Amino acid sequence: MKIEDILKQYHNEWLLIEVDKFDEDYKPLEGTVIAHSPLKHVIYQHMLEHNGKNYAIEYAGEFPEVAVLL
Amino acid sequence: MKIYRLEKHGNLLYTNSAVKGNGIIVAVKLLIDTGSNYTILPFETLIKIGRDPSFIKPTVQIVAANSLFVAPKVKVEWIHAFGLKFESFQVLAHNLPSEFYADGVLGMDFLTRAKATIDTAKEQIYFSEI
Repeated sequence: MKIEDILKQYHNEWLLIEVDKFDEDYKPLEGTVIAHSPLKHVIYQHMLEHNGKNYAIEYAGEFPEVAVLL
Repeated sequence: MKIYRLEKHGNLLYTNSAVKGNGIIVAVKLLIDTGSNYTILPFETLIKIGRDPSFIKPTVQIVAANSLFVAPKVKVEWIHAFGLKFESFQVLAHNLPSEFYADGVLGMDFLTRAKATIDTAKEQIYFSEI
């Protein structure tokens, strides 16, 4: 499934996607959703437990603006 | 000259990137951060590509705005961003807070090596020598 179509199916959640196809800049183009959660660390955990090859972590929805000071 | 469009959220600029190790590629979203010496990736991403940083030395002391902490330095097989692929690239392992949009940070180690010029008004990044 195309990544742009996947992103339309979820609302304000982090997605773990197993990627089937990247573009030449390794931007994910097609893939399958493995897990989704409002919590990013949950997605990271799913990635460790999954036996796939290529992954992307995407946020579906408009990310809330937060003040960032590193 | 090659020009790439950056992704803007609020006043911050992000890009897609990817890292590889152990035959696995993980695509990550990174904050463009000229205030960081190092490129930073989350522990889980590094574990996934076979570079578990848990017991790795050396470590690097990181001075953040309101804290001081230590992060392991890990070498990835390659990192890719803006059409550039740097092999055997060292990154720091550190998890940014969950409220943070990016997975990690693309720091000055990558940006300087790439000879990047950032145009904040146009939300673009330029590479004159690639």
